[in-house]
Amino acid sequence: MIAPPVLCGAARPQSVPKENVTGSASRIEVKDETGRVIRIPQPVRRIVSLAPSVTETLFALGLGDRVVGDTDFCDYPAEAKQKARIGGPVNPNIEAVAALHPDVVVATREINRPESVHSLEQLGIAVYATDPQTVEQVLTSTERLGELLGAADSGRLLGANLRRRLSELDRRLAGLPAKSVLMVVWLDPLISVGRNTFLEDALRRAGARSVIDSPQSWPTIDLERIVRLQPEYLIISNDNAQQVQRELAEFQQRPGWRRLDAVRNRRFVVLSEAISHPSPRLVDGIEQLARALYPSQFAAGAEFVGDPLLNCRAFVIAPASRPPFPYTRSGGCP
Amino acid sequence: MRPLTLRRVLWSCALLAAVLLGIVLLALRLGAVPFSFGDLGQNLWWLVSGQSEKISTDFRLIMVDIRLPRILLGIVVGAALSVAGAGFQALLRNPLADPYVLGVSSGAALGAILALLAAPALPLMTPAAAFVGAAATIAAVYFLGRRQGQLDSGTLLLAGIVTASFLSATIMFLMTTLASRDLRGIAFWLMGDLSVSLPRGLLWLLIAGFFAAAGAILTTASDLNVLLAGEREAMHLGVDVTRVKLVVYISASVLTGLAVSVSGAIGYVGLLVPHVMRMIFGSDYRLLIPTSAIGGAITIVLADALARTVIAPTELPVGAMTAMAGAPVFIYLLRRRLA
Repeated sequence: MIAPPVLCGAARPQSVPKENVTGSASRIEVKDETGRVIRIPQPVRRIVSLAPSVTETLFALGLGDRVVGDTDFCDYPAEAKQKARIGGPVNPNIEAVAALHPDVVVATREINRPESVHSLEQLGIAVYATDPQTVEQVLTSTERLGELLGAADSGRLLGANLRRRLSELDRRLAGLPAKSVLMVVWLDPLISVGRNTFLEDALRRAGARSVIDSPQSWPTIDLERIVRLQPEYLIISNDNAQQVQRELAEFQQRPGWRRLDAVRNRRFVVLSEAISHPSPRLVDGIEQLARALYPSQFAAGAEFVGDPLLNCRAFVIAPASRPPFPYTRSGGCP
Repeated sequence: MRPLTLRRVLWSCALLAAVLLGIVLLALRLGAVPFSFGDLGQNLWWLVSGQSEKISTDFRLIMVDIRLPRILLGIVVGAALSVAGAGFQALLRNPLADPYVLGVSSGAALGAILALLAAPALPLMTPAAAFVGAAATIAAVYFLGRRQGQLDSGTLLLAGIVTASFLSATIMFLMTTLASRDLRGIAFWLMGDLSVSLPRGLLWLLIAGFFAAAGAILTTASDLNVLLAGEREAMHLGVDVTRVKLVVYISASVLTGLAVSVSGAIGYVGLLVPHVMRMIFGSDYRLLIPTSAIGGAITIVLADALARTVIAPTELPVGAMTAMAGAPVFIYLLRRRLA
């Protein structure tokens, strides 16, 4: 079990949500985060998740036992891989979802298609769609899911804990100037992060400022612009060591990229995928980034409270003196 | 060539229909949720004989509500695309013509994208807007493709291709500049996708539209045979070339528009199936149109059944399957005919 210690309260008896709901005893009528009105049967026993971030959220709420199906890409926590697979988030197999007889399907507007939601609706299956666009909304969405799915207590506990960690982070970073970064979401073509996304908000909370200021959520960027903006750090988020190695090699070999100060000074931050999922784990990713950017603000005694695996699997910025790609920290890792 | 008799048309169609029935049964059997043939037969019998209260809930949910409507949709879409393809190949007198050559699918895609941007939460908005987009493209290409007040094959083809590339460029522009999250799935739509469940009413509307438009093309079948020899020759033989071309253009475009609105642009079926049917049954349009319709249905139902099961529960886009499986079959038939 890799679940963070935060979740110990998950096994408590759950209360049925009372506020904000109407309808018969067996179903509650609620508005989801995209404004659709849906009726969720109570109690919720069988849940299908249509996205990795949703699966993570459900597990974090202690609802892992009630998840009866998730997508091909749901790999966190490890138990998520054991669930019945319903296809990809963009092309879920409607038959496979229906055959699991879910009380509710949880989707997210970030990657699921409206068509899939309509198709499930047609079959009389309740689909709750989340739509978090800030870190705060990730937390409120998590708490709301807990409330609707019968894990209100652990939702509140989880939310309070994450908020406490975020304000602790704020305290440590208070008064420090933000460091300019380029978040490399995708390399070919170069895609970064724009305004009104949870990721941009997450960067900001970690004391980073994206050099890209775009109204698009996931803008495609011209490298010329980056060369002019000269970000202090390049950030990538990937759990696959080989891909990370390849990507870092690319940065150092490509003509345009070579001219970036961040590349010349080897100022890379390699983060786990936690920061790219709008789930409670996002806070782990934020802490991870803050620690990479401001190591001096985190004294040796300041324990990393997130998933212990994250702390070592992830990053180290390679100073110029070191060999090119030491991106894993050695020693002290389980 | 043997003279075409009604008897031969009926026999050919009956043969293909039998194949289609077999494929449909196979497609019903295949899927993410397994059912044995015994279960399938038993429940189908209960369904057909009106003892629907005996049907298991799982069968009702998976078969009656999901798989059967999807197969039915595949049949209509496949038939519509193949008849449209056959129609365009005759109208443009070009073996490379397919239902999308004149830009109908691009127009539909643009309509669908605009609908997804404007109202992603409205379920029927996408097919409706896609059909409006297709209809607008049909009208635009019609006016661009006329020469001295008449549809001219060469001009029509050029006008259609230019319109199609203009619309595709517009789509790419919108997708890169807006990058809306609701467009994430549009790539699937552009490749063709039968997974979206439609309300029953829309399915019946689609079937009615198919029979009207395909029927209209079938009435021009013997004229199309003459037209293949050349427009002037056809005119000398008393064919009302202007009317025939107009009927075929509008009907084939409407068929394409209907298919694309509900399933996206499923490729290759409309190009390959008419050619395969020509190789098997000859090029008489009176036989080619009905056989293409059934052949198209067979192709899509089979391709979709494979798309659903090859890497189940993950679904492949059916368009990828039609091209992957269709191209080798086509090459085989082509070479065999030349040998």
